[in-house]
Order: sequence, then structure tokens, then C-alpha cells
Amino acid sequence: MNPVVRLKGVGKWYGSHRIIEGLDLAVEKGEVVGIVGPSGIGKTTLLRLLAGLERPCSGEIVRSPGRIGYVFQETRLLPWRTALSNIVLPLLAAGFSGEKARRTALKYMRLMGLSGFEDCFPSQLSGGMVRRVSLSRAFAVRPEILILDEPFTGLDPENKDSMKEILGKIIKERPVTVFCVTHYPGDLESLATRRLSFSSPSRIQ
Amino acid sequence: MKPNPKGPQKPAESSLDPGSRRKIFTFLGLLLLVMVWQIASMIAGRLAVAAPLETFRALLGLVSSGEFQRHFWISLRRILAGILIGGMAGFVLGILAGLKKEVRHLLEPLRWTAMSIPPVTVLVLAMLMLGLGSVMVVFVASVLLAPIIYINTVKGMDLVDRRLVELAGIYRFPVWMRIRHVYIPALGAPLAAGMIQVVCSGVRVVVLAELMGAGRGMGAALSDAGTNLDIPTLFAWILLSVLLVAVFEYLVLRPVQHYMERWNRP
Repeated sequence: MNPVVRLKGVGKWYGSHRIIEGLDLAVEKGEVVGIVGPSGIGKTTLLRLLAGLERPCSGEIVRSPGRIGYVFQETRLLPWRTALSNIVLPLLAAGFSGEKARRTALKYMRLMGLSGFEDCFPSQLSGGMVRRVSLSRAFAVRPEILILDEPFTGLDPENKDSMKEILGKIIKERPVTVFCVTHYPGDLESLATRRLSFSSPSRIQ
Repeated sequence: MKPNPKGPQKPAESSLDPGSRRKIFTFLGLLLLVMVWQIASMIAGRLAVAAPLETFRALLGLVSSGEFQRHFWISLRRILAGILIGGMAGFVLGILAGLKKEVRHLLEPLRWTAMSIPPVTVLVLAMLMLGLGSVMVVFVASVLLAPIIYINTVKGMDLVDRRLVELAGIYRFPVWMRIRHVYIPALGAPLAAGMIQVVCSGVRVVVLAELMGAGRGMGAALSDAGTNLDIPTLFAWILLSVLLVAVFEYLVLRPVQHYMERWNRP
């Protein structure tokens, strides 16, 4: 089976500060990779490399050309678009028709407990709700690779459990490769098929 | 010194809401302007500065005689055409320059030239090339207004949140979607500032161009009033151009700005 993502001797550094060094990794379709480690060690940089937002300084990254769903640490909603529109736009960009994009977005909003807030702007929503819109957007595009950077931050325990349940369902429904950075290894205990532990640039296990 | 049992005194708070305060102070500013105008006409004499009341009477005379209609609408059309052509050119080039550094470097010499060349020079050259009339006036207005919108657009493009641009990249927004949903909304504030500047300059430039090279329009009427030493009529046309800018700003630009920034209100 061809891996969805393959990293060969990947290194990344800013000036003399080495973030990642000689990383080799092959991830198959449907794998859920939990990435753990202390702050500032390079976990987000690895996600950015995987998404193609940064280029490696050494080595190479080969990724299948499928769609990516990305939940950024700081949510990144378009502040001038409503919650619904924030989910609809990536669907339109992915080639969904207007009606199908709207139906899909509404389905995910309902699933995330956001019904009734479709026409609210991000500034009118709570932090937890904004996080759920961001998750809805990433799930709704039916990605081949789902990149989650501390996706459950800012959610109360009840919502956190519900989001994990939804993520579990999505993974079960169709094979999606997930890379998830979290400070709390327990967040992905039941879902992760592999765990990458960052302790220092040269020590990724 | 004994401490005040009621604690430190707070400054008295006004019972007026910010909107009413703004209206009251704007009205007071207008009143002050009219007073200064009246005093100036008394000091300089009515042959140099017409009094506010005389100007108002001359304005009513212009409307009742049909002179207003004869000159005002043609000027308005020229102003709108100049703003539209110059604004669109500045906006499109500003977007391209914001997206591609090479385009920005390519356009820099043109921008320096357009911004540093005196308006009168552009006017004289346009008169030589295009002759007198509407085409020349609109051309001059477009050439002089385009750099204002261009600069504001480029500045706005530099301030667009790079994280949102990355987001558009991740979700593979096509170029038109990036421009429409990421760049244009982010350009709202600098563009609104640029538009106010463009409207003010547009009125000034068109009036100047008409004054020198058109048979009709507010500038031409202003020139006639000056030649005939009809100072109240001259001031009536000046007042009309000021009112035109105010109408544009308060009835068109502010509501548009208010709508564009609706997402930023709780």
C-alpha cells in the first residue's frame, strides 16, 4: 500500500535554531497519528510542513494530492463571514454546488450543536463555538488528510467528549489520515493508531 | 488632609450617547464655520468674500433660473465617471501590485510620476491632447485619482492577515474567491479612507479642469462668476461643491462603510 504521506530525512531550522532534524515517516491511509510533546518543540512546524505551508530545509515530503482539512491553533475563521459561510466557502472551493455546500455545512453545524447560530459572525460567538465552527469546516470538506493543531483547546469537558466522538465517527465512516497535536495524550487515547513523541529536535520517537 | 469619605470623585459623565454628542459637535463646528465666514466677509469686504446670507440667496437664484441644473448635473456625471474610471484602475492595479511584488516594482515609476506631476501640468497636457470638454475633464480626474486608490489598496493588501491567506491556500480557494472573500473585505478600512480622499479630490479636480477647459459645468460657471465679479454666485458654486462632497460622504460612503464593517460590531 502506498503511504498517504512520506517524509524522508526532513529537517527544518530557522537560522541556527534546529526544529526538526532527519525525520523519516510513512503514514498509511486511515492512520491516526497523535503528536505529543512540550510547547515550542516543533509540533506545529511539523503540521505546517505536512500541509505544505512551510518547505523543509532538508529532505523531502511526498503527499497524496487529496484535500486537506486543517484546524489551526487559533481557529482562523474569516471574521467578516457568518459561521455558516465560513463552512460553505471551502466546500464551494472544493467543487460542491451551492445547494450541496449549504446542506453539508448545515449538517455539520447541527452535529456540532451550532444550530441557530448560522448567521452569527465569529465575533458574536463564544470561543468554544468558534472552535466548533473551525472543526466543522475541516470535517465538512471530506478531507483525505485531517490536520488538527490542539483541536480541543477551549472546549468544556462535555463538548470535548462530544467532538472526540464525532471525530471517531468520521474516521469510522471513511478512512481519513489524521495528524493531531495535543498537549494531553489522553485526548486521543481511543483514536490514535500511532504516537509521535517530541522531546528534542533529534529525538522524535 | 482628611480623606474624602465618599472616595475619589469621578468626573461627571455626560448623559448623552456618543451619536448625539457627535451630531451636536458637528453642528457646533458648522455654526463656527459660518460665523468665521461672516466675520471674514465683514473684514475683507463683500467684493472679496460674499456673506453667508447673500451666498444662500444667490444659490436659490441659481436653482430658480435653471443655471444650477445646466451646470451641476454635467459636473456630477464627470465626477462620477472620473471616480469610477480612476478608482477602478487604481483598485485593480493595487490588487495586482499587492499580489505580485514584480507588478508593484514595475508600477512604482508610474506612481511617482502620477503623484508628483502638478495637476495643472496634467490639465494642460490633456487639453493639448484631447481638446476641451468632458473627455478631457474625465481623463484628468481619472489620472489624478487613480494613484490615491492605488496607494490605499496596496497598503491594505500589505495589512491583510497572512494567516487568512494561508487558510485560503489550505482550502484551495481559487484566485477570484481569495480576492472576493479574503482581500476585498480586509481592504474595507483603507479603501473607505481612500474613497473619502478620492471624492474630495474628484470634486476639486473636475472643478479645476472645467474652470480651465470646459464650456459647461460648475468650474465653468465659477469662472464666469469670477469674470463678472459676481461674488455671491461664485461663493454659491463653492458652497455647492462643498455640499456635494458632504452628500457623497454622509449618504453614500458612510453607509457603505457601515455595512462593510457590520461583522465587527458585537
